Formats: sequence, structure tokens, C-alpha cells
Amino acid sequence: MGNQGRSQGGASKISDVQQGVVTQNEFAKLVMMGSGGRIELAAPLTDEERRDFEVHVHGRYGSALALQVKSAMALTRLSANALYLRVHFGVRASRLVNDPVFWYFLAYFNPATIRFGDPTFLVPSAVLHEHATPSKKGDQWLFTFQASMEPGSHDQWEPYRVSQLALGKKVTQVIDDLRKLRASLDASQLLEMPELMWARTA
Amino acid sequence: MGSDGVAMRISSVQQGLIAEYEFAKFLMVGSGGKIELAKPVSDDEARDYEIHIRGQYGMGFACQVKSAMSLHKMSKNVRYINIFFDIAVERLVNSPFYWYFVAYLDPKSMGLADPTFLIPSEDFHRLAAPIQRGGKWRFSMAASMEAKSRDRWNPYRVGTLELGQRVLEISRDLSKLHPGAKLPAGLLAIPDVLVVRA
Repeated sequence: MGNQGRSQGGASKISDVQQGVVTQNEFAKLVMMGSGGRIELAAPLTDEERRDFEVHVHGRYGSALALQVKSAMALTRLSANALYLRVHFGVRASRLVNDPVFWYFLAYFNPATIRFGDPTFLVPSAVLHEHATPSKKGDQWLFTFQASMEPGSHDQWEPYRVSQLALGKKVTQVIDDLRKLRASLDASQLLEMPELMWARTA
Repeated sequence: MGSDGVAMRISSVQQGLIAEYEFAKFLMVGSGGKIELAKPVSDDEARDYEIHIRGQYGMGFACQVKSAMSLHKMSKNVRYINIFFDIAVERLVNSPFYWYFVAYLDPKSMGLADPTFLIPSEDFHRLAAPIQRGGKWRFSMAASMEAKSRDRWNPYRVGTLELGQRVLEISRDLSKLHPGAKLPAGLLAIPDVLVVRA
């Protein structure tokens, strides 16, 4: 599950396991409600592949998005007026997945309001692994995701910001885009077929 | 359940699941992690959760979660949550250890709205206009969501952020009722026995 970060309030005393369950359920709720019920989520029976959810559009087969949920229950103040979401985690090198259909969801869970604080972040795995200050220690890759929570920020994670109420639509869009990408890749493979003739109407 | 937004199109199964998630979230976080919830493996006793305080064995209570995704205007400025459901007569449970949690799942904020209601089953079954028809009991609860309301459901109101503390209180109260909390009658008859209770 890999959620981390503790907060200062009384509510912060929840365990890492509780934090993981609460934030995964919160994510599932926002995606289900925000997509008007179109998005279905499935939790793998065994969590050995670092996928918290398989996400697909209701009734559609063969195009699922895999998601890993990461959260913090406290924000970090890096300068006078800038609050940052900081999530630090390690992945065994042999289990690192860079795949267009594997994404990270990262969010601050505010113990005072008992829900996520805006913005949240939806980041493709390859982007996160490249930009979240990767360092290798033994057989582990360590990553530190550090994103500004301030509305006017233009840091490197800005393109991946999503307000929590827009998560359902954003996930639907990601799935649709991936489907189109796959369809165009499938079509490009046609060109490699021997003796294929192209015909066009005049 | 009515509809007034995109989010309303979620299925009743999704709605049920989300309302349960929300309830669990407010209990876990609002109690500072002291409350644990367990879901029955088979749901044929109308218990959505078994609730207990972390580390305590032998004492818990069951809760059934009911939700609505729309409110009804019964007069100009008064919004009501309306819940109705049927239970087979033989499956009706009246126990101090069985409670109902009733809440409005707001499709706009995508979360539970204040107030919510936490009601002992005996009170709920008495107050929710019970009608027996055939082999079933039908219950219908209409509770005002307005801050100043003094309707019959007022004593059971709980703010979402107070749910964790309220359930801790209920657990403490119930532990005094629990059969395990009663002393064997013979014990008090033994001379020089001193009973000390917190």
C-alpha cells in the first residue's frame, strides 16, 4: 500500500493500514461518483504487483488502468507560504513497472476535514519514476514526490493536478486516451505485415 | 433515490458501498484509529459492520448503513431525508447492540452531509412509522436536515466529524450492558469482596 506521512492532529493516530484503507476507499468513492457510475474499480486479491486498483469503464473489457494510491496525512512547509505534499517510497528494482497503463494517485488526506485536500495528483508511472528524484539503494529504487499544494504553483507536477471532484472525469479521459493510443499502435503494426497492399478510393 | 446531478447515476450497489466507506472513514479517522470495523463475510443478517474498540475482545455492536442521495422539500425551507425499507418479520432485530446509521450522500460534494443519524434499532423500529404487511415490516424515516429542527430524530443527530467520538461513547455505554460486564450473583455474597469499577 505504501501510504505514508503522519499529521499533527488527534486523528493522525490512525495506523498506516487504516490510512491505506481510508484513502483507497476515498479514491474509489470520488472516481465512482465523479464518473456518474461509469468507472468500476477492482482490488486485486493479492497485492503483489503494487496495483491497488484495476480500473475500467463499466461494460468495457480489455482496457483497464492499474493504479497505486499514495497518501500523506500532513503537509510539509518548504518555504514561508508554500505547503507541499511529500510522499516518499521505495520499490524493489525487480518490481518497478513503467507502463502507460500503470498510474499513481497521490493525495493529502486532511485529518481535520476527513477528506482529501485539493489538489490531488494523477501521474503516469514513467513520469513519476523519472521526476520524483529517483535514487537506487541496494536493490531498491527510492522516490520522493514533492508537489506544491498552492493554487498558483507552476512546479513540475502542475500538469498532473486534479481537483478531487474532477477525478472521475479525469480517470475516464485517461482510459479513453489509452484506448485510442492502443488502437493507433495496433494499426501501425499493419505496416509491418508482408505483402500488404493499401488501397484508397480516388 | 432521486437525481439532481451527474453523480446521481451511480447504481444502488455503488451508493451502498460508498455510504459504507464514508461511515467507516469517519469512524476510523474520527476516533483517532481506536475504532475497528469488520464486514461480515456473508450479509444475511442485515449487519453492514461489526464495530469494536481496537484491542477489546468480546464486546462490539453491529450497524446497518442506510443512505439517500436526494433530499425532499416538505415545506418551503425544510429539507428532509427520507429512508424507507422492508424487513422480513422473522429477521427484525431489536437489540441494544444493533444500530442504524442513516445519512445523506451529497452528489455535489461527493460525501456525507451533516447531520447524520445514529439510532438504536429499538428506537428506530418504534419511531420510523412501522407497518406490518404480509410477512414484512415496512419502516419509513423522514428526518429534517435543518439545523434548528426539533423533530423526533433530533436526539440521534451526529455531525460527520463527531461520528468517531460518538461511537466511542456508545461502545463505552454498551460495555456496561454487556453480559460479560455483569458480576456473577454469588460473588457479591462473598464476605469482604470489594467491587471497584471505573
